[in-house]
Amino acid sequence: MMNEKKNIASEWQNQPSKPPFRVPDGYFDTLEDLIEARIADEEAPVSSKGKLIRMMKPMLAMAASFALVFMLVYYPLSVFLPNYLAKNTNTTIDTVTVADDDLVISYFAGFTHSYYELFSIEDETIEVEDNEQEVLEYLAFEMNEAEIYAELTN
Amino acid sequence: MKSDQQILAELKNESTKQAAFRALVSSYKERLYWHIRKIVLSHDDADDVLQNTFVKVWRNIDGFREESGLFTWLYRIATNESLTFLTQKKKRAFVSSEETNDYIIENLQTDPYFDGDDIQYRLQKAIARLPDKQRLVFNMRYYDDIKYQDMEKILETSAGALKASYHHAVKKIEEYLRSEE
Repeated sequence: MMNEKKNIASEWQNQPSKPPFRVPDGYFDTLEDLIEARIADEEAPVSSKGKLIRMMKPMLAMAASFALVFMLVYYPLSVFLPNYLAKNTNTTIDTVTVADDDLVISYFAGFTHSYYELFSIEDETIEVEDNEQEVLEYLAFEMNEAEIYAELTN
Repeated sequence: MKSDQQILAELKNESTKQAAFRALVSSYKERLYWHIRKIVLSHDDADDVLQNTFVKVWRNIDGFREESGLFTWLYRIATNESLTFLTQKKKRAFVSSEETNDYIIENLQTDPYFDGDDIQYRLQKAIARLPDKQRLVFNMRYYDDIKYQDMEKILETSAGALKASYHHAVKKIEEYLRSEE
């Protein structure tokens, strides 16, 4: 076994030192023409359209990369976590439906501390001032905590 | 066939430049092809690199100062182009150096332009696993029988270092062939 290993390991030195490769038939015959054509093609003046495409190439490549990354993230999520995606889709719909003015107002009116509420504060303040006397009477009529407790225990 | 001196003289003249370049390609295409092929292994890759090499030669021929011989200059460009090509290939494949060499070798087995028997296939596998410099030196010495003095100029390394590289390469190849059995 050991002798066999030694033979194989040294046998390569007895091989003809010629690389064991070949080329397609006639490959070298047309090489000059191929190279000249390539040089002529590279030296040809580039049109403005060509320049634009060349300039856009990195941007298009980047956009394609983002699209690919999105697909690579979106597809596994849609397969393995459909609930997660459905949750996120609702959020998107809420954002999309704010196009109409009325819908916008009703949308914001749903919040307790919305900007809409802030805009309407002035009107409410005026109403409070108009009924100030009523409020004072109401407050004077209010029972304190001890009175409420006494009422409840009786 | 024109001599290097003739080709260089005609390359400097605009009216004869085109024809002289064609003569240069004819004169060196096979030698450079085989030099490149032994580095990149596949025919398609060697074809790409060879064309890149000649395009680069055409672009830079006016800057060639004849400090080194035409042969040395062309081999240097071909070597650099081959190594750059392999580096880019590794980057594109997102794999380490050793893995890429394995990939090249795997393709070699099914390459219709590989004529080797089992021993030659294993020898190519062992060569592919060598570090770049040792691989270059081994190929140039073993297959092309290029003298160390010429190699010095192409690889810009001293003859002593090149001899050491060749010696290490041979030892590693033998070790690999023994371990493969």
